[in-house]
Amino acid sequence: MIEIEVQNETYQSQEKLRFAVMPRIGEGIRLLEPGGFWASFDVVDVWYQKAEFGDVWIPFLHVRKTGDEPGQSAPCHEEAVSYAT
Amino acid sequence: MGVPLGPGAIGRAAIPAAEVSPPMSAPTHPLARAPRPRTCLIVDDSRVVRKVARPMIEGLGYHVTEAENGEEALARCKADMPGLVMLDWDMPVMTGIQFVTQLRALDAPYRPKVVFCTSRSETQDIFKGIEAGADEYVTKPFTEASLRAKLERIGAI
Repeated sequence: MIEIEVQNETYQSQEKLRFAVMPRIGEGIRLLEPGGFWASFDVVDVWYQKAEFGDVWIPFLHVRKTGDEPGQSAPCHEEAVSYAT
Repeated sequence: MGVPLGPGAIGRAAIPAAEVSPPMSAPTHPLARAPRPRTCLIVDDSRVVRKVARPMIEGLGYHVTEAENGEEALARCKADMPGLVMLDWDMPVMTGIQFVTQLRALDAPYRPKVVFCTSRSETQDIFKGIEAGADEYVTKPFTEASLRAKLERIGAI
């Protein structure tokens, strides 16, 4: 499993999720929304940042709910909930 | 001699000029010596949040710069104090509350407006932020409309 920091544009949140494979830009992934329903999110960007500790690079994803325009208002004010693949 | 006023009528009375008290001058903050520039520093460790917030704030007429944590933000403020700081609560290296405490301790030519951007779970701590010197807060995810309303309230736009 790969631990990835997912930065969610729609909810302006960040959470660490586990994936079986590294998603690629343009792919769609399913995430659990605050309301308890699964929804599709587009992978807008993928990058790596050097960790605070050691020579470790952490993968990051920028996701946006499918159908949302950039900068569009978010549907609710709750935090996104983690999920596991 | 005028007509007697009945219930609900509006009467007017002239007050001699000598009795009118002079207009009170607004209390000025010791640091409010110069006008604040239309520059905004977005401080957030999330690249995506910075990316989302930037066009919103630029749309309000601000020139925007960014910092990833409180330490970097403080260095930027010492070099060039912005008029507005959009500040994340929880960040590595230096948290938002540590940053605003140190920012208010700086001798600046003007007092920058500081707005905390918090998630819903952090709103219970927001009073600590206000006590530390923040002016206002917005809850993530914020929209351009909600941000505009908050900034208007504190006189930042």
